[in-house]
Amino acid sequence: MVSRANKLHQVTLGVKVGRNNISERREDRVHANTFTAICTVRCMDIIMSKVRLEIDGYKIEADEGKNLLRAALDAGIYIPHLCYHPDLTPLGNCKLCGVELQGEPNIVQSCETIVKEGMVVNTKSEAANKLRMTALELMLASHPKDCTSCDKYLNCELQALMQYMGVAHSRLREVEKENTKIAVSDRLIKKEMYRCIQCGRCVRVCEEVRGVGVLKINKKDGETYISTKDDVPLIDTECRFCGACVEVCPTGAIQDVKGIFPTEGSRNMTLVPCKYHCPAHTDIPLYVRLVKEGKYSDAVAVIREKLTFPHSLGHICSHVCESGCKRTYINEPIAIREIKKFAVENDKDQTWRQGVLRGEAKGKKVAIVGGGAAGMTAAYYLAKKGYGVEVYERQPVPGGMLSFGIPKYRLPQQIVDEEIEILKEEGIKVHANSNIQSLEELKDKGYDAVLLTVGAGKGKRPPAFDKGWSNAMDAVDFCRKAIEGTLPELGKTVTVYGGGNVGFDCARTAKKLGIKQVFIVCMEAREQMLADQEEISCGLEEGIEILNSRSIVKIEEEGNAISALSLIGIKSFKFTKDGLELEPVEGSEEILKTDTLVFATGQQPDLKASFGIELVRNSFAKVDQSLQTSEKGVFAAGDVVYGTKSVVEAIASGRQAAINIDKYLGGDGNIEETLYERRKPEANIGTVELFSELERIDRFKDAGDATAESLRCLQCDLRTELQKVKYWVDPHFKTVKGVSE
Amino acid sequence: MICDKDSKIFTKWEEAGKEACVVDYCMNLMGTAKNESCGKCVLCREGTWQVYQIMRDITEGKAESEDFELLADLLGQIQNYASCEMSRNAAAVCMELLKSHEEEWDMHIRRKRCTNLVCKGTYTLYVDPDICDGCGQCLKSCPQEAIDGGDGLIHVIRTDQCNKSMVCVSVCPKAAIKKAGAVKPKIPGEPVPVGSFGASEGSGEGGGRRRRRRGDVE
Repeated sequence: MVSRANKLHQVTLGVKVGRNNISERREDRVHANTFTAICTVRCMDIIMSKVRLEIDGYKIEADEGKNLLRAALDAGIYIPHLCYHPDLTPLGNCKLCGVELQGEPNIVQSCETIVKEGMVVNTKSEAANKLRMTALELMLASHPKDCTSCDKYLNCELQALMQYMGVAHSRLREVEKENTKIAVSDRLIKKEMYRCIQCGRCVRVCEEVRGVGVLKINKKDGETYISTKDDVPLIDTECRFCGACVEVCPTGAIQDVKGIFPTEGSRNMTLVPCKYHCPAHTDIPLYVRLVKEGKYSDAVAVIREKLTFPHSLGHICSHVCESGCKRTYINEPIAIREIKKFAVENDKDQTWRQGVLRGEAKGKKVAIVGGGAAGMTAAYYLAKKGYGVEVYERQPVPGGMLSFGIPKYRLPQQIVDEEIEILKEEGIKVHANSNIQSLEELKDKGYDAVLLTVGAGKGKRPPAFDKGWSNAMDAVDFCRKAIEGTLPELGKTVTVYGGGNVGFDCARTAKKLGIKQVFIVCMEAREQMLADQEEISCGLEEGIEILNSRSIVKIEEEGNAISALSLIGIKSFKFTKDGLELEPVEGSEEILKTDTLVFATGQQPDLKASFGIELVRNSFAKVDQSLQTSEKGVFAAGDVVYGTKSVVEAIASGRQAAINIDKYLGGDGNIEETLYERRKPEANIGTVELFSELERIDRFKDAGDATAESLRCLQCDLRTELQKVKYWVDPHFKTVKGVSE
Repeated sequence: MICDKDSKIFTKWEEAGKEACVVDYCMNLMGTAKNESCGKCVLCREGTWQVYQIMRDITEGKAESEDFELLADLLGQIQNYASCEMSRNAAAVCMELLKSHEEEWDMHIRRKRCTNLVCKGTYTLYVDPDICDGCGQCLKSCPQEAIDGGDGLIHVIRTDQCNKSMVCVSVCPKAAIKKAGAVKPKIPGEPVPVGSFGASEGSGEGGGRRRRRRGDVE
């Protein structure tokens, strides 16, 4: 029940600004219009009358229309409560927040009572305490006593209340409830309903806040219990799996299944696995939501807050975000990469350009060696910060692996070129065909800092095969030469050793060049292959033969060339400090004749000690926590630091390098931009017919597909918008925020 | 108010009749309230359940000495603070009957006795040997198989196995099965032919043994 005063409050404000937006949750940068709105709200806050009241002898002030419990809690006075949740309509059902008011004969529930001027409140009167104790004892009568074996142990509101009130399992009869055995867990939500105390928060959040309403208080054989209509599993209801019920449950009754969230990191990050797993921590749920609404330009603005090269990423990103997607536990992850691609390709207004932050010219210069994803990303942010940035690129065009590693059938060069041009708009000077071999070459050019982002452009073979055969190549060279059009004659049979994405790039390129027989020899079994499923199925469709669970044990030579490979079947393999250890299948030796052998067995940086910085693992740049190398002012980022990973990882690394270099040069290290003004997301998501059955759409034909796929999102981020209940031990309750006379 | 149920669903004590027991009446009243609870308010959902549970224990002779005070305490809280009229009213009725019939409650709780032999824990069932004609209907009907007997024999109920389902009482064509409270009648120890059991026999059982129970000692 919303009080009349509360309604008045909302009407008076007349501005659609959620209560949390007013101060706490504002981003630093505020759009002019929004700012005006906030000012208005603040002014009204002042105009809107406050009431003064006394609680347990403390004089406090509260907004008119506020409920008494909220007012007390806000002022730092703890009153026990359980069914009350700051985001839900107070019901006064748990009877814990009962207090005595001066001049009133009966105890009232403070959550249901609106503050009044001059109110005198006693939260600890004998009668209030007695009611509170009785209520808690009654709840505990049917609650199990196995606290220590509950996953909510030490993070349980009920347990905290027991400690606060000193109530143990008591004088009352133990009650065993039958219907608590009805609910079943699924792969996302674990239900231990025998721990349920029927506070009804889950039912209310599902109904009031989400507009979904699949949770109900049911009744069977004279026993009420929380369940779904007809007691069907959540997966068969219209549940959106937003996790709000888990979030508000004060006990261990409704919990997340263990393992669906990362265990390290801040709560707001780990609760949104896609965002957590993205190396650049892109606000994925938000842009997916914007694509759903057809707001492609806004979506791109969100993407560009964290990512350079969004269009390229839309084609080739390793999309680790999707591997964390919670929807995987229902059917398949959201096609996040495809959604990103669709947004970028339909960004007509390019609204992100309006929000770009540009600093004053700093009068300092930074040299970047290597114009790949990491180098160009760092260059972009440093240029915007006001530095003079020059990029030295050994190839004729920048882009690194985007331009000379990833085959063009996966990523057309035009897309890369266009994205580089966008970055260059910030005034980056690119020296093409400039292969810097030593820091010495940059010494007298007046750079205040140098960033080394030369990547890992050299093949890495098993030690026994590191030999200069005329018909053997490393994958990285194979791909580059294929793009340059400088591949030698390959013969009729090409064999690729290694079943990762790079291996497939080589094999598929060879096939597209018209090679009849293309083999991939791969130590992993089919299910364990490192390449994306999509690459594997495309490769098979194109006629590539994959020889799984096999290792090359010997290479037959004819003069300076390879003539055939001896393969052996393997049950398992592992890398130890002494090298590769195989468990061979007896009698599985076979001979594979090949005209060309491509090693797709890893890459390493091509950096020599003569460059002038300290190296580790032969050719990697040694850096400290700030990515600075052994030379002061010389930083390194990307593959040259950690080895081959992914484009998105390189972008994240490039951003970090820009931050650290800015700090090193006396800046604040802040490269964050708000290219899209956040509004509080719509909490009321309602229902979608057959939501849990919606199937993944891999490739979008049109906007309809984009909307349909985005609609599948579980919107994990909404859960972080729900307010947290503060425990009585919270430092907030250490001091009362009172007012003087 | 969160519940549309009201006290109209309850039967009235005044209409319960002279044979009724106040404890049994209150237990059933609370049982109804518990079964009708909408489940939202803790005093109604858990409170009526708890009170019902305690009252049931009392009727089954499993009362604990402090149950009277416990009931008064719980009923007081429900009566004053439950969210709906139904459970508040149920508690108020029980509270009044608790006070007005304190002696009867005390007898139930401390002596496991029920004046009208309504409460299951306070009586045993027996086959009156003077009426039983050995027809065997009760033996066949007993869900617990707690009756011994045979064709033409006086049937005997094994009280330690009897759960007072009262099925035998309803099937006996002679109405020979009766309740016994504190005063236990003279009956044969095992089935004997109809007509062979008289006052002179059954030396061990004779004289209407009065089993004494005191306080909470079973």
